[in-house]
Amino acid sequence: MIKKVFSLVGLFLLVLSVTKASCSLGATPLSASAQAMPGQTVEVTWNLYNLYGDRPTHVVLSVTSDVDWNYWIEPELHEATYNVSGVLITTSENLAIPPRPVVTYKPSTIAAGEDYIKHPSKDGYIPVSTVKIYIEVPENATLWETHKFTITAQGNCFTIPPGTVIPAVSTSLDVNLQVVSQEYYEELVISTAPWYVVYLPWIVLVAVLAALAILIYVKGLLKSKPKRRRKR
Amino acid sequence: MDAESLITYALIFLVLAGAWFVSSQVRESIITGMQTFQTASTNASVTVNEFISVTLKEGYPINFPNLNPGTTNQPASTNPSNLTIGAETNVCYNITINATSNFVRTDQATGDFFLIGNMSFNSTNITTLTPLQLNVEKIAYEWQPCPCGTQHDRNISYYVSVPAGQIAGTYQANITIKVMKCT
Repeated sequence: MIKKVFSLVGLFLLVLSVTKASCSLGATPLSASAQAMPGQTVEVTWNLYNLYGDRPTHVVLSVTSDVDWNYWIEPELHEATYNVSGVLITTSENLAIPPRPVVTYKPSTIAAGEDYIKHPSKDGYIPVSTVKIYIEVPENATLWETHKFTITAQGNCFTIPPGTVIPAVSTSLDVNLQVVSQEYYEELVISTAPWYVVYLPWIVLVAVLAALAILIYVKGLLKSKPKRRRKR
Repeated sequence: MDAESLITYALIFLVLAGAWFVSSQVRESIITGMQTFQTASTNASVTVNEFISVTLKEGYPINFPNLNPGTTNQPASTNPSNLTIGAETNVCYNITINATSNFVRTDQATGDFFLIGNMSFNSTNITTLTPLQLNVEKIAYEWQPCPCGTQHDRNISYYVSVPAGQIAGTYQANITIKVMKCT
């Protein structure tokens, strides 16, 4: 009888361990803006984390935009095969984020592709996996236009058995990228001033010349009159 | 040319140059005065980073009981599915559900399927039954306030209809639950 009870409890625990799963994905920041010159490459760093899951979250990154500019993502999309409780599963992913809780202190050495971000509402740091998105601004990009790039992270977790409907989790980062001029300069736009201000030196010059001409003419008249008197 | 004429021309040149210089200075001061506004204040700005996270917990993955063809709006055996918006989330948020596949038969590679539109959901925010649509985001929760230190638990219930005459078998579908800051 006792053996029967234990086996029932064992079966119940087995069912719990098989069916209970949690899949988590977090991200920071959610928006960013940048300015870049034509020909430059913009590097966007995005932090993804898995604070609450009980298994790794396998992330696929994608980029959408209103322009067809060249971009690439690090780590790049690749195929990976996992042994999940004896079942081999092959998946496409950019990275897998293991579940990691908040830590009190930042470790002295941080592995490549990882970082620790200050928790926004309590003491400690969130362990994050960093991804980099590089966007190439074409040489012929129109100056001062702003383009929106949406980077989406979709996270999947493995479950055995998989279930009837497999939900994935997703979030995104919006990057507003403005194309700026090659060099900084300021030029006075004089066409906005009234015409008489723009041509003021010329107006004054003509006026002075006219005054001088009149002066010379009058002076000539005054000089010529006494000569006639002398002849008489 | 006598000395008197030379002095006269020199004087004319000096008067013209002086007039040009003075008028140029006046012109510059007028134009600059038109376009420049100087104030003694400065701006200080700081950007606070945004955080968001979502965790699928209870009712993950979603399972339905064995169903007969022709049955409508049968609830998932895992209802309600619970998802948590993490306490560190510091933005208001929306939750959407996007179907990324139809129900495709998995026990045999026969190519049998039925449309994801047969699956629907409701939530405490959107109480009416909302059918899913392939590659279309459907709102489950909108304009949810910022958790800002206290995690939010949100429930979603799923339902499925099996078309009459559907070939027997095991079918599977994929959906994406997206959480994003409300704009």
